[in-house]
Amino acid sequence: MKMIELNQINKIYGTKLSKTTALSGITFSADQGEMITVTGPSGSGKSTFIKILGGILSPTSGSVKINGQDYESLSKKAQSNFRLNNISFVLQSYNLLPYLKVKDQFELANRVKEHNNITKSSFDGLIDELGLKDLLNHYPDELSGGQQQRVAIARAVYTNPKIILADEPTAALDGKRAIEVMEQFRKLAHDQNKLIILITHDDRLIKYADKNYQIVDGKGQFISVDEKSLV
Amino acid sequence: MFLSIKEMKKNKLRYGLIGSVIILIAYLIFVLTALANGLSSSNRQAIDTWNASNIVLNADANGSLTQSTLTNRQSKSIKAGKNRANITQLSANVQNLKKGDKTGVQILGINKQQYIYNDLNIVKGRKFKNAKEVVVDQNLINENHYHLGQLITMGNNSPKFKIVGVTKNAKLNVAPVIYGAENDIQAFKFGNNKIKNISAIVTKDKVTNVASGTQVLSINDFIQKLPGYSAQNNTFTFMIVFLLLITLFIIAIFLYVLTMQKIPFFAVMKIQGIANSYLIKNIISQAVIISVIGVAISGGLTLITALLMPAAVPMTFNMMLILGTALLLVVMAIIGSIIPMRTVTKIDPATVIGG
Repeated sequence: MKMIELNQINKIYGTKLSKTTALSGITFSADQGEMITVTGPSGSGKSTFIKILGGILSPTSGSVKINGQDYESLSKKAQSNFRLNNISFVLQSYNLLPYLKVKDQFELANRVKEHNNITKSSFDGLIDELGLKDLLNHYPDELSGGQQQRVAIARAVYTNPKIILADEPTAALDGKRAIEVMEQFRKLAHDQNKLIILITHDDRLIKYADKNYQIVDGKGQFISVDEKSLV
Repeated sequence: MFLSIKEMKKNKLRYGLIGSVIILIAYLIFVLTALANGLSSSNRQAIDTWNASNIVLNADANGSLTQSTLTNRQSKSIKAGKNRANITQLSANVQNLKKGDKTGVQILGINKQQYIYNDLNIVKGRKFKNAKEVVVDQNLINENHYHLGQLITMGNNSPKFKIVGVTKNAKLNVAPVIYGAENDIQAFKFGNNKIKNISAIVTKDKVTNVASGTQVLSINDFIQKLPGYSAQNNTFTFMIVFLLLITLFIIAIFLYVLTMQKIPFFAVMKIQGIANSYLIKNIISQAVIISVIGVAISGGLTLITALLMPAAVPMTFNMMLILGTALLLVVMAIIGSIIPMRTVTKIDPATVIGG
């Protein structure tokens, strides 16, 4: 059983005169322990793709199975609960609540999801690994962009999800910091058996992924990581 | 609660400002409530101490004690049970001995054989027994510097009356009451000790026979007809209700603006699977925390005001009334916090992904 299976997904925005096809006939699957980048030109449908993967947007047609569950058959409340237990997001911005110190970002996760978060020792290890130990008592506005993204990654991992979806997490970072973040994602996929799906517009980062899924004009296909990296 | 407390700790100035507005409004409401209560009480204190259920007045008096006269014949034909008492009312001025200015008083002649005299609560001295003796409200003693044993006159051609006792909670139409013997007050009022007219009869019982030319009012109706009483109470009620509504709008507008500013963060929390109910609980708890703290501080300020307020200001701080008003304020704040709720539930988590 694949962790995520999309079958013949179509997504059309608008009606009749203002109809826009964002995705057309997308069939996609991914396993745990994989890191997949999603690339494509602006307006190609990447964001729509990841929204459907994350269960926050319904396709016009086609089926979405996450961890074997037919996601669309769940109620809104059940979908929300399913996301809480299975999927984490790392976003380009607004990742952290500005009024919570770093340690409280994790405490919030504890309050909304009391069970099956990572253990204390795993958390300590994660904080060490991401270099966040000295930042726990800081507010987000006291951190650099790279530090904020590392906290966002730690928070995404904290709830122990099976899937982490990232939307251009390196967009606001310089080259060195972007590479650090990519390496962290890669470790999470390979060492902790998470499925990482990451949108990026930076082709240089594709080499950190196991697979690259390219979307052009709403149609997608896996292409060779090595091949793309050479472009 | 967690999110709301953390947010308020981080944004102290922002929440301090809204808290200050609530403190000031709550303080204003409490002081107005105390003033309304005090003025209302000053109008009716003496009546309340009579514990009467009905009053018989002249039918043409339009419910006014001042304008009512019952003849001796009328009063004798009225059957108002055992617990009835005659009232002979007269408005006059007494001289403030220290300041020299005059104070308006309500002089009430009561019968020594009837229940108002018997129930008269004397806090100092004794009840009047002999001719030209009076019992006065303690406010007259406190504010006008009279003392027991003193002789007072009440306007032109007034005989001298001797203060022999002090009673409390005896105000009528915001003026202190002077209780004297029915005969003395009738003689003073009519300038003739043969006229036995009275102003009204109050009774704790039912009035079973009404004399021609008289009317029976329930005590509550009579109080509502006291000059200016209803208009004054309605004015205060209007002001207090309006202030409560202002509180509702302030909280609602403030939380709405804050919610609009926080839409991306709510969306991020929703995308992570945090339920609407959790976010809504935090918005409500924020309103509750702000309003409870604001109301508590203004309650403290009100207590300080009560201690510092001169006795001449007719404010009565009734704890139950203040608590009730405080509770209403918190309820208004909660209602105000419901308005941004809809915005939160409508936030689409997908908006924070992509362009």
